[in-house]
Amino acid sequence: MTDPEQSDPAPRAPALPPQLEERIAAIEIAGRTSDFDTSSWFWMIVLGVVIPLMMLAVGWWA
Amino acid sequence: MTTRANAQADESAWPLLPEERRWGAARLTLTLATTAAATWCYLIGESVGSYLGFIKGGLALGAGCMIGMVLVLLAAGPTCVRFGIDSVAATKPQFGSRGWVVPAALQAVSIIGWNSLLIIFFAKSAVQLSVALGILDVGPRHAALVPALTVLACTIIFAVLRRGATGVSMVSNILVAHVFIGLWMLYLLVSRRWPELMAAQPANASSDHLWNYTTGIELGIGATLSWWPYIGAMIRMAPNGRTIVLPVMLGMAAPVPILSLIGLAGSLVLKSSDPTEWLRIVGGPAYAIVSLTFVTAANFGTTTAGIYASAVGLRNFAALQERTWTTLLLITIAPVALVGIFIPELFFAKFGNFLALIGVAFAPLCGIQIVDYFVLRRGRIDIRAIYVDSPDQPYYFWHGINPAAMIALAAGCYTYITFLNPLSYRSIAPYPYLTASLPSAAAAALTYFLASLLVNRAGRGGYPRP
Repeated sequence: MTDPEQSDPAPRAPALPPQLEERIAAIEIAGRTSDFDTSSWFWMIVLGVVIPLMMLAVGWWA
Repeated sequence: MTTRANAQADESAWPLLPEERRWGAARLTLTLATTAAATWCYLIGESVGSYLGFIKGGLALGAGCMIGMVLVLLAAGPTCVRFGIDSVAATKPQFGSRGWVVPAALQAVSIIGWNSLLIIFFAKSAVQLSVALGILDVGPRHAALVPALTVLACTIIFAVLRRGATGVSMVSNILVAHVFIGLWMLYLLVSRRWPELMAAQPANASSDHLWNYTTGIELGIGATLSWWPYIGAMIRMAPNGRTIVLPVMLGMAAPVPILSLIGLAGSLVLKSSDPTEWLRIVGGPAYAIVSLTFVTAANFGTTTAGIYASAVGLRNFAALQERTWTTLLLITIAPVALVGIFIPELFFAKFGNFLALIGVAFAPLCGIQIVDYFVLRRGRIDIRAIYVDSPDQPYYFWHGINPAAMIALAAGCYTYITFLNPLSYRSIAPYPYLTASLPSAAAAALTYFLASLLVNRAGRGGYPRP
């Protein structure tokens, strides 16, 4: 007969260092923070899509 | 949070708290510009100059760099800037609480490779500068000084980085001037050799004009994709997404193609991408000294940022979390120093292949991260699960590894190599229309999306329900 504790070890989350635990708790309490706002998307589209496409068009016909 | 903890925060891979993320747009731009501007710009420019003329090459490279940068920003940016974590930690939701070692290995190989190359350039430039200034005599024995200067540079970088991210910022504030010196060098060459520049023909151009043009774009995309390992460690110091977009796109993406024009112009007109060599031809020894100063400063700044990013990335390994920052720096710098001392010429010879190999790995990685964050998770990241390696956590998947990410990464790499062999530069018919990096990222993203549907059905990954 096998020892139930040996055959089915309960998964346990490893303890985090106290300072990391504090940081994560602080971030979780603060709630979801935003990533990119409208202005960020605007600049990403302009600088990462529109201007490169214009450059490619100009370069091809140059 | 104690003051001591705040002081050490940027030396760990732990999430930074809002009060620790004080870099504004100007400081981030300076740091990113100093990181981006280095000798690789000449090499990238030279590679483009093999296939395209000055105008076409500059525009193709510029467009490629901006496209590649926005991919990196979309991939690593959201998670890094929301939680103040580095690029490697941001891959745990995709690769798993143990599978992240794959992107960590990519980061280490990439940064060690790039930094080794730059540190060799740094040492060679310093020797040339000493000769030009009359400190050293002209002679072949100076080759032996390169390893010694490599060690010296590594020692200085080590001393600077004892201060963590503050050291990187401090170096950037001083060395950012070299970007303007680079622009002056470009002006000099363009203004004095414009007719020759316009008449110059690329040496290895294919008869297929579209293939040449696409290769210029591909080299730009590949070059900026190589910023993936660096970017997280820098942007996590900024407080929010709004603060990072313009600094990344203008401070990091724009200087590379602009300064690459130096190498592009030099390789077309004077058949040398090394500005030290052609500035002597154009303006005499005084100009060569200015150029050497530029090269020395540029590479030092970039290597400092690279070592910092790599050290923070290594912190994600449990075995290294408790090590002192000093130990971590030594572990990070040692391979760079060893490469610079023992196999410098090999790195020079293999640069083109190395650049292509970077694109092979990082394009699919970006595709996976983008589809995971924006499509599958819709921006919902569990910060605790990033740091807890336990079966009850969502990013544990199976034994800490997400097979969907591994399969997708392999599919992306295979797609890249099929479209463009990075060693032989053989390509298939669609390559001139699509590049290799973009289909590679798309293939990885699609594979990851489809495989993740099965992962989600198995109840793993912590994906939000529709």
